[in-house]
Amino acid sequence: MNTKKFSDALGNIDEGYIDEAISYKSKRKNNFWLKLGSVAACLAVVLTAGITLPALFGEDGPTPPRPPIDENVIEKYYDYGVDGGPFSVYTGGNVIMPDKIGNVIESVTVTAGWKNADGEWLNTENLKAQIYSIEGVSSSTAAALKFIDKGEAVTTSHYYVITHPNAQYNGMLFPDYKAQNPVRYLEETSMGKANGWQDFGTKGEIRTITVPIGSTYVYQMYSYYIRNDLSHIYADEELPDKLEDLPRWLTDTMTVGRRSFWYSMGGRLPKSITLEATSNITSEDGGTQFIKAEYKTIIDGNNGEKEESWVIYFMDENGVYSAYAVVTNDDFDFVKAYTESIVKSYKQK
Amino acid sequence: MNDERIIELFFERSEEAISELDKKYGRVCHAVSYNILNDIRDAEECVNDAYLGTWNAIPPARPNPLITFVLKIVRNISLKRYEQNTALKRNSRYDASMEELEDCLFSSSNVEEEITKMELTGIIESFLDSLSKENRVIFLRRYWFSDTYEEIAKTVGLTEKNVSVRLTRLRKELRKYLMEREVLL
Repeated sequence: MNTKKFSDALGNIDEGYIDEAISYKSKRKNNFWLKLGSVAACLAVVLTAGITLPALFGEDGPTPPRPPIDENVIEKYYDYGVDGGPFSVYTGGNVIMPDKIGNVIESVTVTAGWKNADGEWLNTENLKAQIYSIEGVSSSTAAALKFIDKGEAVTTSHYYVITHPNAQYNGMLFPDYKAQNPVRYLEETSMGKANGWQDFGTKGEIRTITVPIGSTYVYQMYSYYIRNDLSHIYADEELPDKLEDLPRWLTDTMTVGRRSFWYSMGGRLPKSITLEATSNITSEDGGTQFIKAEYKTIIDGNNGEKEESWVIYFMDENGVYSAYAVVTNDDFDFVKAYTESIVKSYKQK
Repeated sequence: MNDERIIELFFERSEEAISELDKKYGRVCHAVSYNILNDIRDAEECVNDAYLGTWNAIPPARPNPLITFVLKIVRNISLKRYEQNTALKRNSRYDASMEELEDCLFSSSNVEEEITKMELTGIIESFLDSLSKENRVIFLRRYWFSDTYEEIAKTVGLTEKNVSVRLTRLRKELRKYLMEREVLL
């Protein structure tokens, strides 16, 4: 007698069996109702098609949700829209790889600028840009936009997906980039403008979003798991020659470097930063080395001083330093294990 | 919303992923957890924990089908909670379904001869393969999902009595199957 062991083993059976048990439809139903049901189902299809298809494709169709904006964090954000023409109704989205880009469709002007948390323009500028097709995607669904004028942005090297409000995303060849914000989303908080730290780095493939897990914020990266290029943050600073020196350097740099870095991660400047430990980590494919650094910081919280634990992973890719940082307010071991698994899954493109 | 899209939401780290997952599969997740725990609040917590587990697993995982992946997490978490609760109460549907199984499982007198969990999973799978599709569904609905006879009867279009008879037969077959393979638990 050991039902627990049996139950545990049963719990591990192939998912196909469970799927079969979920999706099973009996063939034993009463024939009369089955036939009547089929007729009703056909009618229902006809009726729903009549009602929903125009709604899906017409003027009054559903619009994509606005990007989620945490009003506690973001006071204003950068946005843009094409002036006039068919692309003026399209919503700006995230960066797309250059290898997905097709031909130029047209040259346009774009109104860009800062909006407040309610989505109202605070200021605008008019910038030249070009619209490109995206391979495998109809331009009536989505296209790519590349700025020619730099405006307030850090670079003009990226292509952004812009999507028709009624676009159907499921069949697309690339992930849905509409929901979060693009490179030009230069966050500004009460501490000042975070100088492009949400940029997608030198390769255009990087995506950074803050994700709350409990009260812990994980800086989650989308595709290739590198958060950002430190040279963006430290434009005016000389970074150490060796990656190994970086964890210590970050505690010692009292001025610009430390401010930008810790602001960029936590939006606050710690009163003290202590480097607790460092170790080396190799990605599972063996191709990338990381240095893991664990820090304790003291910040001024609402109720006096507060200690925070940070884990930061540093990497050096052809002389470009990047970092992935996590602050752990609780469940330290859990968050550490989770982030470590992400870092280990890093694959070089 | 289709599963692929929900998974993309997980990859985008959008919290909408959880609400869409819950909208689509919340009911079956709650049912599986409730059947084990017999407590709505416990089930609610376990399902939430399972959602968090799913959130942590995707990415990098890209499970297909999504629901079985989530249900496995729900079941595992619920069984863990069940073990914690066992000292306090034993009256869930899970208990009832497991008590039925007790008679067809053999106890091991020698620990060294015990079969590993993985080996046992393989044997259970080959047992399931030997059943007709309908019997396989009945067996799993009872012992994986802990559904009641009444619920199973509705699913497969049989009477409760029929389901009960089938399950008795299936347990006998399982007993024979395990005996032939000298499986000791």
